[in-house]
Amino acid sequence: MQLATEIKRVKKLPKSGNYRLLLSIVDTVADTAKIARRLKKREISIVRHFPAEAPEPRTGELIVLDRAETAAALVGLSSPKKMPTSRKGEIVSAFEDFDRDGHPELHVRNGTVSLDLSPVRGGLITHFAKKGREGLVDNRVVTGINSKIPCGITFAGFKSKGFNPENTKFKVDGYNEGDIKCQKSPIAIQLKGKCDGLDTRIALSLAPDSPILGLEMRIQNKGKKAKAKKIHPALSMHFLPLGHRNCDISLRTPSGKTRPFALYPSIPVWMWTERWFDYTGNINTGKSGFIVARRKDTGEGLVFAFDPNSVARVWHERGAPLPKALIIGGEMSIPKNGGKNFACHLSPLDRFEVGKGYLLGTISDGKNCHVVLCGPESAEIFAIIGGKSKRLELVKVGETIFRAKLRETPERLELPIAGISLKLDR
Amino acid sequence: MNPIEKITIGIDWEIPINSAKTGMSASGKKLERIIEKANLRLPELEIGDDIDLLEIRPGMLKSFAEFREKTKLAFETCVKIAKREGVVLVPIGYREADQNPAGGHIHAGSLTSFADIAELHNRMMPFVPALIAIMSSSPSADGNYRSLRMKHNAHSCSNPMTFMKPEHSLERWGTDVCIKYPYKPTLEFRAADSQPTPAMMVEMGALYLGLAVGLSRLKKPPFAANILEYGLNRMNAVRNGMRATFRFGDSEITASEIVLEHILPLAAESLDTFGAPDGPFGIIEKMAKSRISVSDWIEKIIPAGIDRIRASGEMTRAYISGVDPVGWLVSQGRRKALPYEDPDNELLDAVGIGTPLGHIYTSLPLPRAFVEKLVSKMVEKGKLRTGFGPKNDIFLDRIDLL
Repeated sequence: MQLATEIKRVKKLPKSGNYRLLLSIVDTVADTAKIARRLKKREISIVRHFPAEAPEPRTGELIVLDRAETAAALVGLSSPKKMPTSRKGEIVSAFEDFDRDGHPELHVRNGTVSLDLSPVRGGLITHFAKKGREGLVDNRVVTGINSKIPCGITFAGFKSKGFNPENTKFKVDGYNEGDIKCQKSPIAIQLKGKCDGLDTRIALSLAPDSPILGLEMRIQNKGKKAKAKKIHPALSMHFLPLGHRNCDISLRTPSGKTRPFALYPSIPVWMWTERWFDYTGNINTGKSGFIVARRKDTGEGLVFAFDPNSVARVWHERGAPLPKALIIGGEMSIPKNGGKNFACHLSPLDRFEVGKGYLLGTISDGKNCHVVLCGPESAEIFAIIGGKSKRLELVKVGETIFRAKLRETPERLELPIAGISLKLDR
Repeated sequence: MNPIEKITIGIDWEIPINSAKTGMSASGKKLERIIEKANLRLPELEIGDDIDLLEIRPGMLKSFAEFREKTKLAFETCVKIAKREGVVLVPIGYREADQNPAGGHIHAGSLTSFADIAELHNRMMPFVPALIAIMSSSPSADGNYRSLRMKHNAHSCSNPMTFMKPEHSLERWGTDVCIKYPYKPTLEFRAADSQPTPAMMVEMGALYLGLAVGLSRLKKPPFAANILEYGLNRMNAVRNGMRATFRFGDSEITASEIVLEHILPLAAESLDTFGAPDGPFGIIEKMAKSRISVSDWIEKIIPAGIDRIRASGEMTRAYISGVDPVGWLVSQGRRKALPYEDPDNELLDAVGIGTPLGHIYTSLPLPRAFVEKLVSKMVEKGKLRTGFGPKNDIFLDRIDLL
């Protein structure tokens, strides 16, 4: 998001070419959400250099602020909002305008992961990462939303006619601006919106200390005038613009193949060739469906596990300005007075790869430790407990997710296929 | 070939229209209203749209005076209407905010046979890089290109041209020089960026028309068409604008020399029957002498490295303030020519990690066989690595990025 403003007052500074400008905010640009009322007509002051060849600034003229100027201006408009902290075994959720763009964001955090979500921007998840990590989805590198195609994860209309959840303004059920909630039981939050006449809800679920975020779009076709509809939704993911040098994100399919995102260095959208579309295809996942996007330099990334009952298991990637992946829901018929759900799980990926799957992390419920794994089949995991190596019994907890229950947190997890030995914090 | 006897010109002048409040595209209803009102006032002129750009098409014009008057009238009328709608016409080659290119297409006519038009198309080839250089008005935000629009082949609307054989070549749409015959009796120049004022659009249009007429009158053109030389020179023109140096065989010649010594005399001489005044190319001559183009003026207003949203805002503000690009362009001193650049850097810039060879073919205006030779050279030098994709397609990696 950047600010478009009108000049109210101009003062030429002694240093040549520098002007102090008093500006009034007119609109926001490069953003999918409309300008917030509380920002409109607010006055800000900046100092800007104008080249000798450029016309001198005059009252009433347009000034568009760049990202740094916008960030500085927003800081000057409101007092800082502190992100709430969480203790082990707790989930904290807050609904507050943390980035000062005029629209409140939903912040959810447990002992393992944190996420930010913008309800007015179609429920876009603008930040999702493990504690203290950068993550592949992160708009916090700049204040507000940084592009018309912002980095983030959102449900999208894809090929649906008129059904555009990414452009829908959602409301967070049970939250008012300024609310902060803290709980020890799993959290379930619903975002309510109306999209192409359909009641559209986005349901988030997160357990304490779990790295796995449940994300589900629930669509209901109710009302006297309701007609049966066909939609073709997708979960759309735009990753962090990592720049020229770090752009090698790899993508792993459920069939176990790893492919590079193959970005262009100078990334023009219009230079897609037909080759980019060759990657589209059906994935015969059987019982499991997941996609892993991972940075090769740091090993960090995201796992997208999807429910094969509601997702058509088709994936798609393109070389776009931001690396983009879509989990496509396939065509869904929404009958009159009926509904459909579209469920996915997200998890920030750690560095550790286990056979054909990925270790997502460990969860502690106070008494027991749970080792959580995502993959098409169970892998051999050994834990060192009391100096002895013990093979873990993995239990399927979702279509793609396995869990091993231990009475205590082991000293070490050994992953023999990947040749990794992981020391755990106890 | 038969010389062009009935001289006609037409232009499709694409102009980005920006909101005076935000500097972003003001397309949609505002654009529709401007076109509707302009057509009510000037029904004899074709003022329309091209996606979200305003497009001024004054029709088939038969004299220099008619060309100048109608172009100026259409532009000034649209500016007045736009002002009332809270919209600004920003006629430059690229709107940075949404990376939207705008061209100033020129139709030179009238040609009466496909054989003539194909021959003229080939004769035009060696001059195209110099025309791109003088007409460039879309500098890149990183400062590396003078015509970013042409770097990206104007979103595949102005691709590198190929050699035409009248006996069996098919006419293709969307090349730098494009045969419109038999639908229109013209040879269109699509590689020109949109020009900042009607006076400049008229001069650039007349320059291309004069060159086309002049080349049609010559028994033997001064330069033979060479597809590889054209591609390499085009690359230099896109990068360095009017400071570029071109190669023809073993000799090197600057863009400025081509314009001053070959194009301008030929164009000025051949526009006599078109009613051109004395010295019709006053702005172009001064620009060529000082080796500058509109891109240099734009770079002075929005310096390299500036945020692209802010850049659009600044360019919009400049046009609201009533800037005078011509005044600046004709008052500049002579700049140094830049040396001829080999395509090595251009190739390396187009390769990242896992970049398909097919992408490189479309990124560089060079024959495929030459691109493959260039890739082999870079592999030998240890700068690139090749590999195979899932369908045996060739992928390239830049070693320094691995």
